[in-house]
Amino acid sequence: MLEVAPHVLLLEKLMDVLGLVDEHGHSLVPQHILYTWLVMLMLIVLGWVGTRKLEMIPKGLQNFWEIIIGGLEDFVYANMGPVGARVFPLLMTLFIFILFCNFIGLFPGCNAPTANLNTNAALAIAVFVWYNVLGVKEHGIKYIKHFTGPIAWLIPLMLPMEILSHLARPLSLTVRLFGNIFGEELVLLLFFMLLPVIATLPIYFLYSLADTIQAFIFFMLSMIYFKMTFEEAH
Amino acid sequence: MFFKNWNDEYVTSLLKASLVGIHLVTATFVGLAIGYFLDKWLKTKPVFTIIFLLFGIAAGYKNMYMEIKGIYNKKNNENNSENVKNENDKK
Repeated sequence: MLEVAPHVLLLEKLMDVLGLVDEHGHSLVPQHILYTWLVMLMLIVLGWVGTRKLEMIPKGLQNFWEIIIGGLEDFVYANMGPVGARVFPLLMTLFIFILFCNFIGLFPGCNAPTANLNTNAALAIAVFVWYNVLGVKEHGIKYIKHFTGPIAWLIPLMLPMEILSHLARPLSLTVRLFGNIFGEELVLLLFFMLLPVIATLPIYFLYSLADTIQAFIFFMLSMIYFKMTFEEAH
Repeated sequence: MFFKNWNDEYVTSLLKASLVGIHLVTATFVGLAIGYFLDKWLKTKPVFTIIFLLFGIAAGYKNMYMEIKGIYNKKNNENNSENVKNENDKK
């Protein structure tokens, strides 16, 4: 297993204290799942608090959600047109979830759940399956035309190629996010070993930007895949 | 605000351009993996490995081509719309 970490992970310690460990002293639930649960809890609480009293002139938490969701809603509608409304909830969920997962890795004692291949693969496969399901629902049997290319006699050549490039999509989504976040955590840790606290502070600014960009890239690529699915094959 | 700037054409083009490399590589690897496991299953080493590796490389280059085309078209459209706007202004 790939783990960043000689550092202390708080939730793993908590499991230890609660006695939820096997005979080797490992936590019964892997740490990336523990931190995914933490992110889920945070999002549920923040979402609930932010939408409890909705006001015409937003302030505080409601303002925060409106900036993120409003800005990206414009982006999706500008790129996909009205059909974007059908996938916008999924895309937004992906973005906010990945954003929070990435950012939680910057806190001491925490590890980003996205620094683990399993979390990312789950997200990427969900996107992959969902856009294919939507494609079949939208076009029916004609969805196969997305894979055959425009010229009839080139089909034997194009079909495997297209299928391969479609299969490469979840892999590239997974590996890019994993690589970036895992690398980030590792570099932070190394800098912390070199020169505690002082060396890591400037890097935090760089990585808070990089985390946002990674979440946005995942969001944008998923959007492009959905857009291509809804388009007529040509 | 930070999230308003994502609409910027240059930002999205830049992000797309940064993905070109990884798309080329992953398609190749998927091809290689499929070929390898087909060979393992059917015991026909190395026929499928080679065929699917070639397909994978081709798919990778096709991905790259489509991506570059997307960026380039966007740029051209922008120029065209700007030209139209300028002409309208002149009138």
